[in-house]
Amino acid sequence: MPWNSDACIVGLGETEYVKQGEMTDRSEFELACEAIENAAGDAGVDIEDVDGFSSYANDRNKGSLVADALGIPEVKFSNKVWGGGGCGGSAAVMNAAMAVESGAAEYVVAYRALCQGQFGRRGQTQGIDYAEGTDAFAHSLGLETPPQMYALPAQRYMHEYDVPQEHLGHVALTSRAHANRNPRAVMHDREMTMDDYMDSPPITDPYKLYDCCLESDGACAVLVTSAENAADLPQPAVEITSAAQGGGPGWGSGVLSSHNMPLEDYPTSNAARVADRLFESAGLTPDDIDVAQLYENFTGMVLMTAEDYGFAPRGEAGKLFEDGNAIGPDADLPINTSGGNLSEAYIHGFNLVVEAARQVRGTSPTQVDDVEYSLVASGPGVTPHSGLILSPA
Amino acid sequence: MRGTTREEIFPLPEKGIDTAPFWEACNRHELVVQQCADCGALRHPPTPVCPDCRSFDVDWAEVPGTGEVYTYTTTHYAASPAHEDHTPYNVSTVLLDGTEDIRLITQVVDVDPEAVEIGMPVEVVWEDVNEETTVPLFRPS
Repeated sequence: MPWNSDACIVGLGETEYVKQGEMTDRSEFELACEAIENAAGDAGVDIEDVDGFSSYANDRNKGSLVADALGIPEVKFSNKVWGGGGCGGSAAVMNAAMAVESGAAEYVVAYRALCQGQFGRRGQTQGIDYAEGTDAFAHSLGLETPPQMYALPAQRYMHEYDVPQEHLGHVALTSRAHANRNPRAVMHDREMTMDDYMDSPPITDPYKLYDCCLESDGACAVLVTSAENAADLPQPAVEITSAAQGGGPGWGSGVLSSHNMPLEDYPTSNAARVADRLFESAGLTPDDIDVAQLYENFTGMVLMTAEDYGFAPRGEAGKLFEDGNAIGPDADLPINTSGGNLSEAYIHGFNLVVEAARQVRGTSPTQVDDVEYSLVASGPGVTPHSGLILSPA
Repeated sequence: MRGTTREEIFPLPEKGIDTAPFWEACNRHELVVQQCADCGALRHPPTPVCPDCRSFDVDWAEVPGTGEVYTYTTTHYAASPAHEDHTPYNVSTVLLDGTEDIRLITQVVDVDPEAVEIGMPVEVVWEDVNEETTVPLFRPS
């Protein structure tokens, strides 16, 4: 079944992005409200007309409470995607579109606020005494944090395909180069060379410091409504041309705890099935994509995601990034054009959705000419992975 | 606070209804995985239903406690103050002998972490964390 919605993203809202701990004057909850209000304002939609709230895993800022804080007169849709970390970012937009398309709600906002400085850093353990259920088979046996969890498939991937460390480094350099074109990026004005990358401190092999996403404070949101409403609004409408979420057998907790995914699937991002549906549904192929945002919690996963999406054969995604191949608006396939999770900010990857929409509007700091199809792949390695293809309405 | 014992560094396993038999076997220094009582398929980590035949009847099968390193990481950073004196340390998944594809997350110990590599043959070594809890670690065999 093809994706048969013509719902559009009509508003983009962001707060400023800062290093974790630097947001001291406003709560994470306030940032969620601010980003949502900014998205409505950007869209030219009265905040009181927003009637749906869509988010994804690990969100502390419940739609019901955000709605109350913003004085929403009636909530008609409130929904959160299951699954770990940032994997459901695109799925939250997909769900917003489905709510609009079904008539359940008219203006649905998808959002994420994340202040690691206020609630604990993702790279640190939280001092728990006991691990429950499936988590005990990871945490109690030494596998406690995301960099470790995502190091394991990367190590296996590098072993199976003889991938050099530099291929991971080129992913980091690509994001940094784009952050240096983006004044809003946390790592703006921080040049990085391959020597800087190779000399950065080892975190958990194969990952060095610059293989790991930032830990940030900030929030962002997109407002979704029908194509009919979008046509009457001031911003160029961004059509959600295709949307998909899901994953393969055994990937439920995937990289985040089980590590018993099928052997043939193990050194992947669990994204191939979603990618196939995403392209098939839109009648497109990877060659049709003009610009891509590929979630970089850790560099190794970006390579596997790029391969799952068919942008490169297995083991060869490093070639997409080496020699600056993915940098700048004239690249064959510009990737992570705002600086992404590695160098713009880590807002659980929702900033990648915002950037993918900007590319369609024509307002990216690394704007690609005449974008017809802008792709975003949300977090890798668990179910649901999710992705979107956006295009001018 | 810096940790010196395993109990001070890593969280202890909470023994739930689905998972207690695994941890209780560890206390006896037996490595077990779930086995479907109907179709005989092995699975890990424990779940209440066989994904192959949907049976809810569960057995536990002892495995030899040997295997090979399927993938690993050497962790250099301290994820909390308790970890500071524990780095660098190994975390691996071990492909268990006696199974088709089951991997156990564990740590390979009694060896320089930098010497661990994919394919290394390993065997279980039991660490009695306290009176209630034993965890399966591995060492080169």
